[in-house]
Amino acid sequence: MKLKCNAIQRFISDYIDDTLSTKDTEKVESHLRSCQTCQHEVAALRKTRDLVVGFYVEPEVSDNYYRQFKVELHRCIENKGPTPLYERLKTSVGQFTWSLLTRVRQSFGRYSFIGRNLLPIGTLFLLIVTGFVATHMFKQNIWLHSNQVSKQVGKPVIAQELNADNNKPEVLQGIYNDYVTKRKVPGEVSNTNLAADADKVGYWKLAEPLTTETEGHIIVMHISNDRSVPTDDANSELIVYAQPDILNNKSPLHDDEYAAFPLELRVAQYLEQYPRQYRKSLQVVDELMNVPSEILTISESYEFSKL
Amino acid sequence: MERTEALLIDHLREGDETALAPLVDKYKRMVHRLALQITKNHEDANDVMQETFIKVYQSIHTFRQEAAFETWVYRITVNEALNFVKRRERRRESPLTTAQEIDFDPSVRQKAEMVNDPQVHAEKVELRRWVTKAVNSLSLKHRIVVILHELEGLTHAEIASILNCSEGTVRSRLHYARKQLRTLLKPYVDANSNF
Repeated sequence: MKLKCNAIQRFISDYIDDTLSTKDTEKVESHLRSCQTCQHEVAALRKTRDLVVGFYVEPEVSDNYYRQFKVELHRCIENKGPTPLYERLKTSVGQFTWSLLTRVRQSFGRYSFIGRNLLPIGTLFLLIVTGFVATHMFKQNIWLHSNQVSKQVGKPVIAQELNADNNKPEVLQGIYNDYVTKRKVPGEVSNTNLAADADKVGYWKLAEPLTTETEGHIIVMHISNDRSVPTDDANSELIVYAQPDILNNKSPLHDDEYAAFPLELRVAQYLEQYPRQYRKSLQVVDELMNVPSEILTISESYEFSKL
Repeated sequence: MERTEALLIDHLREGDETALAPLVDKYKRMVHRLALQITKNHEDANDVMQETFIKVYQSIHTFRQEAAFETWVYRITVNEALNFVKRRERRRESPLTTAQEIDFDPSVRQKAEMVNDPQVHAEKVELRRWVTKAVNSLSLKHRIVVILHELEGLTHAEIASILNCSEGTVRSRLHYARKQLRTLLKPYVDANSNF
């Protein structure tokens, strides 16, 4: 029952926004009919949303302010002038190339096969060359990375390293330190649990969830800055996420247990299986975790290889 | 004759400066509101609004017609506002101090409303204050999503496009933010009364 409630939690926000698919809506409603706790949760979140929508005070300023602003803006634009030349040049070159190709095609179109099909042939040629170069570079990267990954996948070294006293990679050590200092709250998770489980299965079994907000979730690690949100919590830290039941079918966890997984280990395993996805960092983690990607801020693929 | 938005954009692209004014008129409130909500500082909001429209003017040639112009303006505003916040934090200014500068005075809106019962009036003013405070106390990334979704009415996809992240990220941030707000507004959420 508890797991079911946890599973429904993920849908509640979308449910009150009415953005769920019919199938998921039915699932949620079917659960709600039999679960008063979740009914209460839905009602509370709905009321919260209504309170925000209805009572948040939006800042308002006078028309005079906007009039002054327009005068200032006009002055500012006059001072700054139009778009810088190189920007315009860049755009113009692109537009010129495209129109040139179109003109060439129009001029020669009726006389030769190549002229007639210049655009598709040119595009195809460019695609082949780009593909060839990209594949070549990609293979080299992956080959280098696979060597690293295979070492990690054989045994869950990352989890072990986090708890070992020696041979800690600098990055992991930093994350672990962050975890110990920032996230360690008495009664939530202990180092003993981490050490014991990491040796066996490569994840840390937690006796209880870390916080009430993240109940039933696993920990993944976050090792880069989110370019879109350059603020408070953008630095490396442990993030709590996802439910144990979605790890995979082999999960040895019971309903009331929680697991901590180092993200980079899962990524490494995934990359071993699907090297072509290497550069799509966000997609990698999305597919790995099968959950919304709150922690998906690994914006640069090379950061994986640092591990 | 009033020019349509598409026409104004075309004219702006061709270097016609006069096309900017109607666009500024249309989007100034939205840009200012969003900038103020993100920066929580009137001065910064003013600068963000200025930078946003200068960028619109200077980068209009990079705007692709297939995207909505409004979403594009939103994106520029959010990015500019985030840059301001980032710069401010780099200068080690306390966000709490700056947050206090903002004056979302709930009584301003109340004046326009006809409330007969002084007690109800006072309760509503208090509620507005609480809700506003709760939203403003969220972390920046969660506040932005709440503002864009609950207050600006944008879809998950639009927000994802503005913040350059996945829809899943938007969804989870929104969910987390709502849960936080629920905790912050607990007395009102748990109350039986309908406000």
